[in-house]
Amino acid sequence: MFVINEKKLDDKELFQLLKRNDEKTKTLVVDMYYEKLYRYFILQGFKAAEAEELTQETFYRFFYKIKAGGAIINFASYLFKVAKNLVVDNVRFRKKNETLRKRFICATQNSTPKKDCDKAIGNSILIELLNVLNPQERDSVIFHIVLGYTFEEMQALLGISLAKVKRIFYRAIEKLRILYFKHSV
Amino acid sequence: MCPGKEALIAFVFGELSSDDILSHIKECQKCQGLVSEYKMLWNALSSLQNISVDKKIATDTFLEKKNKKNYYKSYVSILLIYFVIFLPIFGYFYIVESKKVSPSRSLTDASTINYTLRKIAQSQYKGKWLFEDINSVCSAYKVTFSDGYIQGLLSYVNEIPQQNIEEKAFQTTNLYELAIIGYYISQELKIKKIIGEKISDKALELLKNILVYFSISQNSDGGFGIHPRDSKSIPQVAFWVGLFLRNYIFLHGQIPYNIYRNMKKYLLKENSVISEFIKVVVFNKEAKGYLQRRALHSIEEMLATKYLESKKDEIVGMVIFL
Repeated sequence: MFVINEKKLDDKELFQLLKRNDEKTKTLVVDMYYEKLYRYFILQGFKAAEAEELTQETFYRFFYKIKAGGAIINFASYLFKVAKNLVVDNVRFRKKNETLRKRFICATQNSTPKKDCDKAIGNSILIELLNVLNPQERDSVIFHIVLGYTFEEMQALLGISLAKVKRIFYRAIEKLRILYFKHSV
Repeated sequence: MCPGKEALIAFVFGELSSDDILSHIKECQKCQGLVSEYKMLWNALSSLQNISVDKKIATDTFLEKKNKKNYYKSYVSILLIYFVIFLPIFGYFYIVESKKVSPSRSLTDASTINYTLRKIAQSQYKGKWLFEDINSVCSAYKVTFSDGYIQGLLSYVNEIPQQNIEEKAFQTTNLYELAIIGYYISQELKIKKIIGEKISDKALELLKNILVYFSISQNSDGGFGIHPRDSKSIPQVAFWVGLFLRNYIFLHGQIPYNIYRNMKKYLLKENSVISEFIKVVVFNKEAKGYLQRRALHSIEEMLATKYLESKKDEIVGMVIFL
């Protein structure tokens, strides 16, 4: 729920404002979802620069859709759907360019603090373990624990029933537990 | 009897609260072990919420207010007219005129360029830094162009505050020339900004138009910035586009995301070392959505390594591009 001029607005009302190209609403939507999308991409194993790039691409597609006259009922659901598609596309692209990537890493031995940060996040055991899970399981953990969505909200985000959301989440947690403690040992 | 793992997870993750389970956990060592593991996992996963977000975007850059579709429509119609009516006529004259090429139209050697650039530096900017700047990159990259050509460009620069500059700038369809014009105009504005003079909105708008023109221009192969009749290679165009963009970023702060996106799209189609370089270094590694100075540092860093020494000539263009 968004608040503009002390009024609570839902996605439908916001959509009408966005259709009128209201800058304030645009900023509000970006502020609301930017961090969530950024974290989502980071947890999919992307580096900070890539995550920022993909986050912007997601917003670009979102605003473009509205500008082109498309209807969006649930903002979060649409944004994460775009994000998921971008992840699939970029993982494919990344595999293709893996060799060049390795050569680049070799060429930049002297890392800056930001790169160190990237490395730390990239090498984090948890992110590696999350990437072992299947996409739906990974998304359920990210949405629920990291991004703070409830199981009810996750129904729309994942496009499945409540019972299935819970089942997938529990399965993911159990898998993570086994992997995490195995890894730690 | 132990509750299932799902019940334990739900209990630990706050989805379920049951006195029966609690009392069972107190008695059962196996469940205690599981619960402590789930708790540790919960804490570890919660720590992922603290990933820092370096937010550097401005919302208004996502979509330009200018209607891009109109640009496409107008250029498509121009192209159609060009191919159907004018191309046969121009083609005929081109063949006839090409047999009478005068020596003055040919490209000159580096010494003439240096002389011309020195004159530009002295007459226009009353300083040598511009000359030094351009001279160093010109000699590094072996860029050559005719004396008369530079004089022509200067005439554009001299007319900046006057009217019709927009029309004049767009009279040329050669992106190589447009990039150079864009650079000179932006350079002029940059100096004005540095010394604190007021810059007209019209001039800034013109720069934006040139930038849009770059982002939507492509040849039949989908290449960026190369007009079919232009014999210049990508690095040569990128060289001037780069200088232009550098000034543009200085003046406007950043490149609008949709324009950047289009440029990127066309650049990625190029199957050359340069585009590979852009793909790996600039757009995937350091771009951060905009062509920022940070990328320049990373390329400079790479230039210093042995791996890229053999490709130095190609990379110089890219360094300037940023």
